[in-house]
This record gives sequence, C-alpha cells and structure tokens, in this order.
Amino acid sequence: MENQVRISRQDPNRQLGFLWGAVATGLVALTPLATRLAASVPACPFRSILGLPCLTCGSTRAALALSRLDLWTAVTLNPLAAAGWLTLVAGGLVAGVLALIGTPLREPSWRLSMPIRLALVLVILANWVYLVVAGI
Amino acid sequence: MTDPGAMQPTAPPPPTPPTGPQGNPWERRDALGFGSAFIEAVKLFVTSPAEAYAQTKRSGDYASPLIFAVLVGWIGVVISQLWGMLFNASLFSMFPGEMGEQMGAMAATSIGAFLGSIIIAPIFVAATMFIWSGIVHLCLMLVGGLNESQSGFEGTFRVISYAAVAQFAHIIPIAGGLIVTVWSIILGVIGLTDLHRTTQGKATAAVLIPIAVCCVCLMIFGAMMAASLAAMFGAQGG
Repeated sequence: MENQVRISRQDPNRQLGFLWGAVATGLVALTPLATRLAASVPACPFRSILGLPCLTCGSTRAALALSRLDLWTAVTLNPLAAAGWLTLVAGGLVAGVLALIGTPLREPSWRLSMPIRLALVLVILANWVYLVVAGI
Repeated sequence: MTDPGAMQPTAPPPPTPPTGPQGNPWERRDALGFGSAFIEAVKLFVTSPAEAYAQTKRSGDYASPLIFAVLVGWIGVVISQLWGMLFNASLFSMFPGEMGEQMGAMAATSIGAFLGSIIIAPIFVAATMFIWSGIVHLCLMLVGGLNESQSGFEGTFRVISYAAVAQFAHIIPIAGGLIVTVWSIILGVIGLTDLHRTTQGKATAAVLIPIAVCCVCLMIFGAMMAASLAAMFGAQGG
C-alpha cells in the first residue's frame, strides 16, 4: 500500500514511463507463448466475408515476426501495425528506462493542423491499399 | 518609528484550494478503503456514468485508472471464460465455414487454457488499455476533439480505463460480449466529452471510427442478414 501511495504521487510523465515500461516488459516476457496465443486469435471476419484484408490484417503475424526479431517480415505484413507494435514494446522499454533514470518522456502537443490530420488519414489508407495489393 | 509588524516574516500564503474534481470513489480509496472504494466506484460508473466522470480527476495519476481497469478486466475475463466453457463452443459451431470452426475451437476453453488466461489476463488488460487509449486518442486528434482539452493522453487513458467497468456485462451469457462493446462505447463517449471538453459528436466519432474500421464486416454481415430476412418474409408474404 505504501508503494501504491508513493507511485500515485509521482510526476505523471514518470509514472506513465514506469507503467508503459512494465506493460512492455510483460509483453516481452510472454514472447515464448506468442505462437500459442496467436492461435487463439480468430480469422478476420472482414476477410472471411469480403475476401479483402481489413486495415489490421497481418497485425498478429507482424507481432509474431517481431517476437522472432524479424523486423523486415513484420513490416511487409502490415507496416503500420509493425510500427504500432514497435512503439508499444520498444517505446515502452525506452520510456521505462528513461523514467528509471529520472528523465521521463514528455507528452507532446496533441493539437494537429488540418494538413497533418489529412496526411495521417492518407497514411492509414495507403497502408490499407498496400495490404490489398500485396494480398496480405 | 517603524511598524514592528513590517519586520516580521510574512506568513506563507494559504494553500490554494483545488479547483478540479476531488476524484471518483476509486481515486479516494486512501480515505474510503480499497474494497469500499472499488465497490462504490463500480456502482457509480454503472448507475451514473456522467456523474462518475465529472468526479474523476483530470490528470496527475495513471496508476489508479490502470489498477481499476486491470481489476474489472480480470473479473470480466474470468466470467467470460467460465461461460465459454459452458456455452460458446456449441453456439459458435453454428457459424458458417472456417470462421465457425475457428470460433468454436477458440471458445471450447479447456481447464488449462482457463487457468492460463486468468494468469496472463492482467498483462493483456493493461496492454489493451494502452493500445485502445492510443487508438482512440489518435482518432480524437484526427477529428479535432482535443482542441479544448487540458488533460491530454491521460484524459483518454482515464476514460478508457474506467469504461472497462462494462466488462461486468460478461455476467450475461452469450450476449454479454455484445453488451460490453455497446456499453463501452457509451461510457467512452460520456467520458471523452467530459474530460476533453469536446462535443458528443467528436467523442462519438473518435470511439466509433476504430470500431467501424475493425468491424465494418459485422455491419455488412448484419445488412446481409437483414436482406436475407426481408427476402424470406417477402417470399412468404407474396
């Protein structure tokens, strides 16, 4: 309980770094079970019905590739998902270490201009077009 | 003559009273006690979510909402796994083709898988909170829902974490999963509107965009079912 009280009164950025790092460490610890866990993910209903990949198709296989440290395969399976997994796990480990040494990551500004918002949407659509063309 | 009072050290200014909310029951667990705070928070988020989010602190603590989400998420996993062992295997086998086989096999939970999932569930719940909060926050950025926000990513994280209280709907067999989804959406919209001071439209868009992207297929499936039913009743009527 004492630890809990101490954690809850820290700088939120540092606390986020610790928690993000803990989650990333937990996911890394589950790597030996990755294949068995992936087997429990159901087939994509979008693909089953329409025969086309959805925006997130290839994410599970990308995660499995990353669990084998096969970055190239992960990127070819779903570039955005691979980037997302890397951000979650590698970013979490970095954030945890930075929080430990007392220089936590700072939260960026979240107000985006319209051109940047449109660019983000285009990136997501381009990723989907890639999945369709590559037959992921 | 100098004023003797002028030489005395000035008293420190009185502490400024906190302006934001004092915290929902879970965030006041130091005063209420762990068990009571948890039960009171669950009651409040179930019966009066708008009031619950209004009481929720805007920033300053990632751990409280995460611990709450892990607790309710873990309970939800246990309940859904229990139901899975009892019902779902036979139910999902009614789905057509490969999807039905896979869903049936997945739902036919063995005791080993049940125990394993209970052990690793907290890690998955915590990871899910970060992933889902990140996705919803990205969507909020895209729809311009953060323009008036003072709480940033932490606000989204709090909303998503406390919305995990919807996991209790897993207590309803078979339809529980669907109810969890709908209830989570409603809680998410209420929370995002309050914590980010945004409109209900933008909050709804931010919550629904990722669900629509991932589940467009379910809408298509529903439309196909509706069309089939309409055709069937039309044929009977004719």
